[in-house]
Amino acid sequence: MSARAANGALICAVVSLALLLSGCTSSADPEAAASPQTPVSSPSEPSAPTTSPPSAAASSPSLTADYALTINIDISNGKTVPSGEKINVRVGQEVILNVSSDTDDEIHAHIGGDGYELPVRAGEPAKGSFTLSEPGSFEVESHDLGKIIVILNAR
Amino acid sequence: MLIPLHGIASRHDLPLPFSYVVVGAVLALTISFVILIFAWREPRFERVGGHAMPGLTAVVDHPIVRLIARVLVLATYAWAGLAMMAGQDLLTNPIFGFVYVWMWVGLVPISLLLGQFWRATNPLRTIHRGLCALARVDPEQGLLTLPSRVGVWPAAAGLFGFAWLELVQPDRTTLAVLRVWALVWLVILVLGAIVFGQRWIGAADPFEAYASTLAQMSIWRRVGDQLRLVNPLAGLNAWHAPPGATAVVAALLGSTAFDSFTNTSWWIKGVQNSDLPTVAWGTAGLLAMIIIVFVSFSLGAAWMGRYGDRPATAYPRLMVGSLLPIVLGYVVAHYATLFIVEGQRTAINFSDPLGRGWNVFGSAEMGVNSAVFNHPTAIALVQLVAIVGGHVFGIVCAHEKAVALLPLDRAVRGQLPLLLVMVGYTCAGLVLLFSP
Repeated sequence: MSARAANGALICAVVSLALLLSGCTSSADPEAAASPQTPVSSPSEPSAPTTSPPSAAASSPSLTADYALTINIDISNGKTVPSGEKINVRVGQEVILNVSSDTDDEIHAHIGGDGYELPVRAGEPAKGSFTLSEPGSFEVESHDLGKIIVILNAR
Repeated sequence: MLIPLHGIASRHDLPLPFSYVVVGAVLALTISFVILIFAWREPRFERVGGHAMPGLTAVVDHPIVRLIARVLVLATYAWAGLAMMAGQDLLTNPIFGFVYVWMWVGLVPISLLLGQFWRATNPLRTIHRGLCALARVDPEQGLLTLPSRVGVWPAAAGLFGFAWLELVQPDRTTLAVLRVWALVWLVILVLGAIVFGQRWIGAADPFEAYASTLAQMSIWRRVGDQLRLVNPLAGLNAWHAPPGATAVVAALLGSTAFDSFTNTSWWIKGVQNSDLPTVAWGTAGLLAMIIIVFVSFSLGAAWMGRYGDRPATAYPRLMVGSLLPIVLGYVVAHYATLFIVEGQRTAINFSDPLGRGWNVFGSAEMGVNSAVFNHPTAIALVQLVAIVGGHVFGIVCAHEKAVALLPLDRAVRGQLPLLLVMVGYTCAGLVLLFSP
């Protein structure tokens, strides 16, 4: 066997090993672990109390459409918390916004179509909700500050 | 309709799944080395080859055909200009989609499918030609001669300007802002063409520079006076890149990468909570991205000077064609869905430039079909194939150039740094699409 052919065999082995490894990585979905438990979003009570929570709910509650996803938003001193976080949601899952702000503002969720607007008065907690009906990546923004609060990745 | 803070689309691609990033990076790396080690050792594309198309050349070069094409394109721009000058300052004004989608993204498929169509019908050239006809002067003749070393450097600066408008400029989707930029573009290009002759437009128009650069990968190529149907790889290999071409390509790659970069949580959080204005961050970030691409590519290519008989500074320009497939892959991965969805919206709004309920082209009543977004897996696959495919073709082009430029026994060592740089671009592109 010539040196070149040996090299070839070696490279083929490396390629297949690498592909095998990447295949393994893909089966362990990293996003399931990365996304749902952001400090500001917490799974609330099941929206339909009669529905028994599916078994998968224990590991990734907010990824199940049966639960509403609550996002607590705090706007003060011209800054928002959260600020630019990415949150995974399921298509059809209800998203609840709990907003407290020290100024009048408008929360815009660019969720396709005409979008969703939540007016906010200074010092008064505001609550609103919407549902993402289609997959995609959508921004929720403070309109008056011109800042992105969260980005919802709906799958 | 709510106006998004950034750009014109309210719905974006989902992040590329992390497993795709890993698969893509592994593929890019392994295929690169397989090509490096096993591919041909003798240049294969020294001649463009392909099929001569005398009939097609006669049609394309016919004065009447040229005139019709120029007038149609000029009329399209005039219609868009009407929307910009007299239309409503709303996102339903088609001018925003016209500029940011039809022109900026649309020039890519136009240039791939129709070769140098953009250059042949550039409205700036048509306007300049018209002015010269009125003044009875030769459009080739200016008052001054543009030194040939200027190349496309002014266009590279123009591309930075457009990328800044698209990605950094506050209120970029308002008419006031767009009017200023359009006017500056028109005046600099047409006045410059009067001063330097119409060569200035090829040197300084960012859109034409972008289009004619990408047209190097078209299946149509003019050899002498004749159009030929060619293998795009052979065509690209035959490209003699003008001075500044590396900066043009760096601006394209760097600005697309910056577009993705600004979508990472890390960037958004950092910029929004910083005391510095967003514009300062954006300007610095965009410039830094372009410079990183320019410097890394130039250094990687200059390494070949150690092995070849040309000065090191000659190689970046000789090798820059091999970045074009990577640029194309980036563009497809980033802008394909935008082009499909917002391109339709622009076509619909184009019937009613002034917002008065017109339906001039019969498109006003049509709806935007955004079904493409309902297939996130297919989108992710297309993105992966575009990025990795662009990379593979880029490596093939670089290899072909390297074996043509370097002595046989040194071609592999000489192109290794450049290959690693290209692998770096591809991995960075994938990670940015993952958008952490």
